[in-house]
Amino acid sequence: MKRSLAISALGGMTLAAHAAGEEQATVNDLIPKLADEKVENRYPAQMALQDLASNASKPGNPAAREALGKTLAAKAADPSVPQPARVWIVRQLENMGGAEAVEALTKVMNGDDAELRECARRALEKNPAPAATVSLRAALEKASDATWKIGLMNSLGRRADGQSVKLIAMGLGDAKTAPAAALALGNIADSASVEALWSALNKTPEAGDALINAANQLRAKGDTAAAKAIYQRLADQAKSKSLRAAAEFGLTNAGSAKAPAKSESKSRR
Amino acid sequence: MRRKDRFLISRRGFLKGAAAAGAAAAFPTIVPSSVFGQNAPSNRIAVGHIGMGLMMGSHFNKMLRSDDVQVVAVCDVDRGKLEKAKATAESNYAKRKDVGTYKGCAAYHEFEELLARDDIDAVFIATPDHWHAPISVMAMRHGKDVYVQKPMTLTIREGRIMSDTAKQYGRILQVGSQQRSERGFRRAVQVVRNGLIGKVHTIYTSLGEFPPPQTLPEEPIPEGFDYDRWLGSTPWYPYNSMRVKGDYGGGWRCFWDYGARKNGDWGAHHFDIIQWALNMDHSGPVEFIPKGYEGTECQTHIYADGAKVLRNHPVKKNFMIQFIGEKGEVLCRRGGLEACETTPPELKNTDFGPEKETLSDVPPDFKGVWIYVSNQHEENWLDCVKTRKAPICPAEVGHRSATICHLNGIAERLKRPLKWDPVKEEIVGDPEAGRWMDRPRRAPYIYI
Repeated sequence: MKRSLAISALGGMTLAAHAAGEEQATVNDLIPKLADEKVENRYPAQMALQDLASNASKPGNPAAREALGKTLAAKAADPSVPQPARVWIVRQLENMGGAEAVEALTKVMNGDDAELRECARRALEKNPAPAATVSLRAALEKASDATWKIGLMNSLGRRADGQSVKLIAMGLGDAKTAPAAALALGNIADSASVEALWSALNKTPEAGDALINAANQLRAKGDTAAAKAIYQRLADQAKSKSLRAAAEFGLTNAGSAKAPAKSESKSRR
Repeated sequence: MRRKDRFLISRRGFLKGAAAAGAAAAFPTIVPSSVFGQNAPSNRIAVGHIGMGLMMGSHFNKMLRSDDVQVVAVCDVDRGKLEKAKATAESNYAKRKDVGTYKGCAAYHEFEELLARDDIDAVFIATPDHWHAPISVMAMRHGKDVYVQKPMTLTIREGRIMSDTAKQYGRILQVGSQQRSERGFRRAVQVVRNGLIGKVHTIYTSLGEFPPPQTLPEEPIPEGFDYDRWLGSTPWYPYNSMRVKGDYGGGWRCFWDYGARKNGDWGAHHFDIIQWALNMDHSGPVEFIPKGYEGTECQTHIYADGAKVLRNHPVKKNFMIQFIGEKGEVLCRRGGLEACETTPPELKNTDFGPEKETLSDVPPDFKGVWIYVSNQHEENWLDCVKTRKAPICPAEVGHRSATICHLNGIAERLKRPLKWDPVKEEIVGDPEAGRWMDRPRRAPYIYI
């Protein structure tokens, strides 16, 4: 029994290796078609690669997903692969890439091709590996272009990266990046990001809505006290009627009535 | 009085007061140029229109003719469409005035500027799907009420954000699923919801098909068209006129980047009616099976009680939706009461009680299931803007219907079935499919 199981395991590994080899061959075959000079001819190859990626990412077979991820990552980072093919490959990694793809995607994100850089940023944003966050953060540290910073801040906000708060908060000081910075900080919703948002409330209109978002997230996580503190302060201080209404709604749903403003209290005495 | 408080006075009350005032005072011989219809411009709902393409046409015309509305702004990324819309609004109001030319319609390239105006109460949004959520959310955060075309969203996460924002910011949002305001569909829902055909087990609906989304060669961007802004947060592709074309038979609707193809385009209509009929407006199906998967002939989604919806299964007599229950059937399509047929036929003529708009108006002895009555979708929204009652297709309903469109689309793209938890709003057991709950956004068009 043990011997036959061992043989089966060996056979299974061979099968997996065989399948990976076939996939490699398929990807190699598709690459020139993905970069066909006549753009309209690329579509069948794009769909074939998309189907390959979807199939590999089916639940219950992580080895298959990882194997194809490695194959695609290698091609994505290979400068000898034509650019249109690399773009489509990175777009598949956005949908199914894992830890095995982070290094390659990071290389692409730090490269010279603007379209590929953007595709790689999106792919890292969706990548479940913690290393993807590290890459995105490192890219934001180096970034100088406002539009590029906005994309990176958003990616880090969507990943709720607490270690990026200081970096993102610097974006509050630039009118071009402030709205995106506020949005990202609202998504991170830790105490440091909330503090940064309070400091920007009077300069960045989006900071108020970001605070509402942060408070909602805190309440959803069970930190009702922190949520109520934000709602109450906004209800008392926000200049926008809309924001005050949102804060009061938050207070009501957090299980407390709004504490009356000081002037109302005086009139009741 | 706050601007919105004016709208809490019923039209009847307003008209009564106006008539009484008229009896006591002599009418002026010259009607001031700022007053026409029943409402002076300052009493009307000030509306901005965003996205002046194919779908906006009928909304725009209705609002221009409405005495409850003052169209004060239009917005589009296409200069030609924008200028035409502005000219249409101005000539419309000029014809309606005794003297002078109305110059009250501003034209914006960027919706952010339109939404920043404090004097605008509400907005119509009829852009391609990928812009629905960002503009709607920003509008609501700026204190505007919203009428947004269907499907409400591009992604499931967007829908949750939109619904929560509408609630939190106290805004009236109507999704343009106008079939809910058509009598034929409403009658079908009344029949189903009142149990007259028994438990519904199978539903057929016809959505049609789009051509596949092709890879397109680059063309020069037309003068005056801001293609970058049109793309917004979606991935960059070289410009091609077919990519951006508003066309009921294809155009941008073919592309996954901007919508859920036919599942979004017509699914948002018919899946929505099905949700309504099955009383699932705050929930949804639990399983999605794409066409072709292990021989599946029709794309199917399945509710927890076993009811199945089959897309593009032939529907009897070319109706749009066919509900099959244990005790009968009901067919429906667009139109009046004749657009609903039942088996047995007499079911359709059941007395469902008075067609009252609110539950509180329904007589207390009415024993059936009351179905919200709206006979005109935009009017329903305007009424709700004034009264602050919930419209017939609010954000949560639109979100749940759009979710079905998106999940069917995701299953179609991945070519495998999905299981969905409508309570947690999660795809079950398929993390890669779960990535499709939302999409990364292209800078600088990041708003949510």
